[in-house]
Amino acid sequence: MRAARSLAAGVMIAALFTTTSATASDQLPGQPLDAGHAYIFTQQHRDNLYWWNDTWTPQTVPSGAHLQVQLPSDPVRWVPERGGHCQPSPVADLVPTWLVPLRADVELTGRTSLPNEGRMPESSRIAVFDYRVDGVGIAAVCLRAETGGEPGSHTPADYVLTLVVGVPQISLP
Amino acid sequence: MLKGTGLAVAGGFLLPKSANVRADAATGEPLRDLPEVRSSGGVLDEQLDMVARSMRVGDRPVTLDTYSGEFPGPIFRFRPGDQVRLLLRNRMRPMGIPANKLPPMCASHPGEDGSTGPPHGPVECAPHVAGQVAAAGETLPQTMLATNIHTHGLQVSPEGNADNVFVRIDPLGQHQYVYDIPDDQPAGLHWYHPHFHGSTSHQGWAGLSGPLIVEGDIDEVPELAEMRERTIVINELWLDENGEVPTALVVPTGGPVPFSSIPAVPTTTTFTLNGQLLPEVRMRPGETQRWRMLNASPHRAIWLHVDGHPLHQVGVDGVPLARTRRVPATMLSAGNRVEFVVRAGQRPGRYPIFAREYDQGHPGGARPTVQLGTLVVTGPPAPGQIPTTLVTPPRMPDRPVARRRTLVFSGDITGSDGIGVRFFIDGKLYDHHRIDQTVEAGTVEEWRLVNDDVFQHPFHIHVNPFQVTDVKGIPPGDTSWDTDPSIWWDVFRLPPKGEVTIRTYFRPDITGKTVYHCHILPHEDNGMMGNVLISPPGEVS
Repeated sequence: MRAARSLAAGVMIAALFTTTSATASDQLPGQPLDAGHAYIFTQQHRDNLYWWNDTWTPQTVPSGAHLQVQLPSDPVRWVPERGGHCQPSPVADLVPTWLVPLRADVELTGRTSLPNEGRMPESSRIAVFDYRVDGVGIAAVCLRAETGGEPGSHTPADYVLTLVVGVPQISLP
Repeated sequence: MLKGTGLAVAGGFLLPKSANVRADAATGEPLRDLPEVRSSGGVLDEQLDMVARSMRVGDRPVTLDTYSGEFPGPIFRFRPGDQVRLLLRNRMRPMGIPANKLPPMCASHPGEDGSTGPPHGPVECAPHVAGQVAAAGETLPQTMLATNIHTHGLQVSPEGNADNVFVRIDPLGQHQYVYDIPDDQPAGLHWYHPHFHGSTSHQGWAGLSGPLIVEGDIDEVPELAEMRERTIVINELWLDENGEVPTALVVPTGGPVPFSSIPAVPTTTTFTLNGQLLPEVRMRPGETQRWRMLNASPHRAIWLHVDGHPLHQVGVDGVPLARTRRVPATMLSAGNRVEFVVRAGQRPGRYPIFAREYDQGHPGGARPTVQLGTLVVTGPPAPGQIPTTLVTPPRMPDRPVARRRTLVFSGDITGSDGIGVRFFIDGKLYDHHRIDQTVEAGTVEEWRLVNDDVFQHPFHIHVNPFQVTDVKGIPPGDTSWDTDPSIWWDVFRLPPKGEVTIRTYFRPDITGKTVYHCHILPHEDNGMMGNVLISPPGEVS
């Protein structure tokens, strides 16, 4: 019994020593801080919000891009939507995207949430959705708000993010 | 004249960015000392060229706007009573413009309605944009290149060619600044940085900043005079994948990178010390060094820790203390300076210098712990002394409070009323032409600063520092706050949903229009600033 106690004490001391050493070395998170090379979109990136004054256009992302959508949530809950209900938005409220028949693939790769208490009205968390897009063409990311009461003006019931995928992007000098 | 200025200008403005990559900022290098210019015969006369320069931060190539090719800018060192002359030349060029979408040229910003906002539809938008480009220079890329300079902490005139933040210097323009440093300017660390409303955060994220050191009585304390001195600038770089600051509208996000842009591009945040990624500070066991630290970050509050080492404060925000204060760590909000003595422990080893995880109210919760550098204790022991008694700091005049005011700080990041975010003081966005407060030089006032937000707004006022007489709303368990009423500050953060009362003395010899604002620069750029008119004594009814 005494040997076991001594062993346990030794293990605890060793653990304590290890912990102390860890704080006195370079074991802290590295730099730079990055979000996995994600293109991060918020409620302000939603298609064709009224304040675009009918001048909204979709942005491009490369094939293979990591997208991340962050939306104010709780009590509003956001549900990813696919299929026929998820359609890209017309450009400048005029040009329908069916004129470009190519469609890129959108894959939901993860979801989580972050604390956000008091930062925005009618919201206590940020819902985070990670996607990967592949191919060439138009892609739409859609999320539907449900439960928890009526969403506020800053959390419209349907979130649609239209993107142009795989089109070579200009690189300015 | 700083050597190489001409080459830096030519390299940044005329050559491709790969032509002059500097490879002096790798991880683990010894912390470098910044270049320094000292006044001579009571005058410091220098030229600063704002110019893009390619360099490496760690192993990553980046292109940053710099002061005369230096990141951060050179130290200017002078004494009370000196005259400082700076010729600022703007040689910046557009960088970091996302090419994946047309910029939001005709989107309405919060506060704009049908009569004041941009026109609707692409047909009406095009001539509107052309007019903005040609006549007003108000497109986003043009605004991001407009600049000026603020001498943060100097008690100098805010008018004319002095610390006038209303000056606009466009590319290829220049401005001659002249500052008469008063005889009673406290000795300590101050700094310079761009302050053109709308572009301060963009240029801050490029690292545009530099130290100003006023020498004086504190430097003659024997223990301080004998020890090694380091001036350390913390910068927060927000960069796209080309290593440039995005020239785009900025929106807050949760997660490791606190901002995204419209249009969105992948970005990173990097914290450097004197332009270096994770440098090493070498000290002998028992050695003491005096560190003058500046948080030049546009956004992040740095809760500074040196692992296993207490800090012995000798000055805050450029004003020396009466006695040394031993603290386990020190908080530097954006814009704060702290000067302290570090005594290396007797045990050789590697001790991280880090910003501890801290919730400053940003969306997504606490900003993460981030290592800034490493204290390396090595070599034979050295005797190091820490002073106890320092100097006689400035005293608040024994006068009655002439006036009490209340200012309320609030923000809206939803985007529900227009593109981007907006931040208010007393419900108003900043207006260049409006006088928000009129005060009388030579009087003492108390300002109650109320924070309606969870975001901690670091309050800053130009020209005159202040003392904090009351703080309400410090979150339970948050040990980062220093509420000692004897300390003079020029930046002090407002607790979440809390309030701070400050007492300040408007020195009688400096009058004119200047500003107060939140020193989280994206908040300031998006409205959280006000104008204060300091009237001559006897001219306020």
